[in-house]
Amino acid sequence: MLPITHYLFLSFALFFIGLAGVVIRHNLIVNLFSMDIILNAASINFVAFSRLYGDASGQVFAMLAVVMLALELLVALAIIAAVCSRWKCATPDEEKDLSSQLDY
Amino acid sequence: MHGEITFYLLAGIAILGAVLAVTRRRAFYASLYFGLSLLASAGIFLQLHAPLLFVAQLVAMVCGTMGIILFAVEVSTINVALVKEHRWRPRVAAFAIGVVSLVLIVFTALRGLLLQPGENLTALLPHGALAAVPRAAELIKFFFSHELLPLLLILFILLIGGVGFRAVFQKRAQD
Repeated sequence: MLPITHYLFLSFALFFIGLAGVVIRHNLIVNLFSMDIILNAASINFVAFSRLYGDASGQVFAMLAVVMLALELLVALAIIAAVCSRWKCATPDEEKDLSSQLDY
Repeated sequence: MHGEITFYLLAGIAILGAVLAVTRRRAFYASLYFGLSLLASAGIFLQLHAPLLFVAQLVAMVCGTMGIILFAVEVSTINVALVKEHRWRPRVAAFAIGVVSLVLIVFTALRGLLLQPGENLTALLPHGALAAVPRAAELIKFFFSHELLPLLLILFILLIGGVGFRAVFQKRAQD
């Protein structure tokens, strides 16, 4: 096994990326993705420490996190769809200037 | 050696996918890059000898959820920005991520100067700083009790409720 610091650095990087997305972005779907990236970072930590200590509990936690991630994405997407059908949501396509047509 | 190369490759893909997912303006492209990041994470799970998690991540997240998300985003045109998002926001996100990544890279490069061979990061902490922290196995056993399930359920409901409340009240305030 690689040193645990490798996994900690990866986990920290993913956590910060997710945190930046949650704090800075306004798009609800991107916010959801950011939260999932944070949970994914936690899962990597759980599995790495589980392997380090030879204890399967970390993997159980990570499995719970994966299941919760999937459920959260689906239910939150349903809520977003319901809200957007009730109130019209602004989309980037509504901007008429040429620069907004860039796909990136 | 092969393990290190595989780890660096997968970690790079995971971080790059996460960065691109967070900084894209269109939800469709963000979801594609998010799926890529999840795939790389699944590979890291496999490298950590957790094949069950690898399969779960692959099936539950990448195949199931991403398929539904792409279908919903593309077919139903749910490209959601509850308030019109300024163009500078993704750039601020990219800048913040870049700064922290730079700090991480510099710290990783200088780690060899800060630590003696065989030492880990805890050597940088004040002596005895971790004395009060119980062993990880005991901590996991403490949390993995019969109280875990209600706690998880409450957290899940709070999370979903938070998303819904934010969406509803933001739209009401805007209207």
